[in-house]
Amino acid sequence: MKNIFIYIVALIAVACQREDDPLLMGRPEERVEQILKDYRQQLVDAPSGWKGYLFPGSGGGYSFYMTFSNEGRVVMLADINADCQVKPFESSFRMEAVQRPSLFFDTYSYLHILSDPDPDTVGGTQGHGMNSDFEFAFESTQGDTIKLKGNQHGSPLLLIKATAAEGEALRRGDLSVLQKGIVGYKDKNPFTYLQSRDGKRINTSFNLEAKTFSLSFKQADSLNIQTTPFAYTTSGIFLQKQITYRDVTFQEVFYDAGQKFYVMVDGGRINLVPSPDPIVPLHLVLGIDFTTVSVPFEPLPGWSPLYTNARLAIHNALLEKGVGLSNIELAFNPQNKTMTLDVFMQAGDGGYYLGRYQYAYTKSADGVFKFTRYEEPTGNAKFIEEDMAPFLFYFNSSRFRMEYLKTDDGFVAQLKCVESPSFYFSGNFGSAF
Amino acid sequence: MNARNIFHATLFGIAAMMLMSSCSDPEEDLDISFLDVDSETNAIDQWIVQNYTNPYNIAINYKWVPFELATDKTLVPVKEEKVIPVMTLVKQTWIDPYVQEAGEDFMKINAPKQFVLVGSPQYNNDGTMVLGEAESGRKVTLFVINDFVKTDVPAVKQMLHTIHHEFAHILHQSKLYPRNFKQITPSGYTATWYNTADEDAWNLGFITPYARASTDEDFVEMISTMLVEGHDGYEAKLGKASASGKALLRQKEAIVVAYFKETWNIDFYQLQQTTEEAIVAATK
Repeated sequence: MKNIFIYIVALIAVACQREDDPLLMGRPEERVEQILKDYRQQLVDAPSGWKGYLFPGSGGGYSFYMTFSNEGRVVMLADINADCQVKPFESSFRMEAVQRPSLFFDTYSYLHILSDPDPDTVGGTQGHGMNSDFEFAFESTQGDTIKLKGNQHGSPLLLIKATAAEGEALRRGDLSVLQKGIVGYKDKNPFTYLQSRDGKRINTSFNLEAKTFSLSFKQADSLNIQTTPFAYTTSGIFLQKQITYRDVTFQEVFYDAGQKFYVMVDGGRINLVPSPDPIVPLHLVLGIDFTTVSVPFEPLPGWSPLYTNARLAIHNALLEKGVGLSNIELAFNPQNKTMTLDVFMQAGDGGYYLGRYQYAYTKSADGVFKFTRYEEPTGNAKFIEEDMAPFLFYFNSSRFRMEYLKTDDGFVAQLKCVESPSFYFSGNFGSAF
Repeated sequence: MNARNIFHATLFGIAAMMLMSSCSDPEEDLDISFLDVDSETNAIDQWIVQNYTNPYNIAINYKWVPFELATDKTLVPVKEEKVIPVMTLVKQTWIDPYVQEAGEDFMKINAPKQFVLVGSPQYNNDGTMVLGEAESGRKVTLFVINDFVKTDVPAVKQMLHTIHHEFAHILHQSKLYPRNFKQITPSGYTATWYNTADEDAWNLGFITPYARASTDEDFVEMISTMLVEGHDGYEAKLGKASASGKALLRQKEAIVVAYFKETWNIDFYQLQQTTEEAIVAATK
């Protein structure tokens, strides 16, 4: 029993010691409050605002320009559409400690367009938008850079303090000027590469639609490739992830007034070289630079007489049924190794009908495709199957090679039948619809 | 228990009390906010206080609060410019008519205490979308606020339908409607109500397809449809129903009117007229 009293006395003594103990770091809530204040101050203390790069879950990257005020207001520009690039929009923000200290954009702004679950807003899937975020946890700050991560979908947001000149350029709308410049350059120079020190040509591709940048080179029979989403900056593009090839590492690709792409490595400038010819074979960039080959009704260079005749025979047969032949599109899905052969027909009233044939394919190392139909055609496809026979015959029985073909206007994809060398045709990259 | 033990127990008790009291610290401030306390109240906040919080003790969350909403859904906050127009219209076409017909106190007691505004709709996995929801008679969440245009009468009516619907839930959750309401169309309720066309619902004795979801939904759909569509709009719907459907709807209507009179002392037809006039005035 005596022991109990000793314990109690000891407990009282110990329990109350806290009072005299000078706390080293303060209480958790005080510390959190201080952290939030500090972060907030950091955001506000940027006289020329912040450059923001957001990479939503559905891919691609978006550029923002934000200025935070002491009153909990944020003004932003974004490169989501033409309006967002020039009309500053004001909304509110706040700091809150949820699981981690977070920055909330708590009323609608340009940032929320990417999250909007209504597909009419910007696209994306209904109920999900582009899997983007507008509540962000602070991950780290380093110098002028704050790294944040979305609380709901984990999309990374990078805030980099803008210089006075950058701030001015962004307010002036230079983002759209540069974007147009890059699109124009890309049209003229579809192929660019980096000359590496070991003498290799490293293919660089810009997928402007998906907003991805890739660095690739042929290794044995396959393509060694690094792909990362990018966002436009006032001086080029900013990559979500660093790209490395041997001793060359970069996270930004610059585009200068002389209309040249270049990267900076160890303070030195390495230019991207435009190439008149493709750097890697076409079948290797299937799914990277393009997924669809669209064969129009109007003739393209690279059609054999046999194909031209087959096309006319099909067209005439379809006219009997009240429609004319329009585009034939080969839509590849390299992940599933499937190809959808879509035959578009146009009726007299201008409306389109679609007949769809489903193929699985295998591809040999040197780029020979073998197609196998995996589903019997139904609906329109079944209805016109006999008419389509002069074309489908080759897909059902033969193998094809797919290669670049240089034309006066650039490049097209040419498919050549291996077993019947007199059957070949070409199409444009990307769907016409 | 002998005296010695009692003594020990007492001593132990005193010691325990000392232990507790000796550690309390009267100066300790436990009221530290995890929120950002620096935000200033703006014009919208002041408007809300004047028009909702002070008179009716209603809070309006228009700024994003993730914990008020489903965490597995993708939603976006409201555009600030929409808040005052939406809530002005809500006051004119929901609070004011009830105040006029049932008195200030009725609204002060029964009005939900919290509105949460969301910019986008909330999509369900089955392709339907949620335009509004209510929780335990306390909180009403309104979606699709960013598409609000005052003069877009069909859209406004859709939103008001939601509010009147949710408010009617609150009313019947605090005082239940007569049980015989549930026996008018007992076999018509279904979880897949959204496969029902309007006409089919009317013919079965339901005022909307959603009324088929359950008896509670049926009851509040009757109320919200009659209030928001007004007398003529409601009669027009009945005019398109089959004879049997119309008869069933009349039975339900009678129970609603009686419920308002007996339970809340409200003349329902008068309320219907006031609400209809308010909607016409507010959507000009």
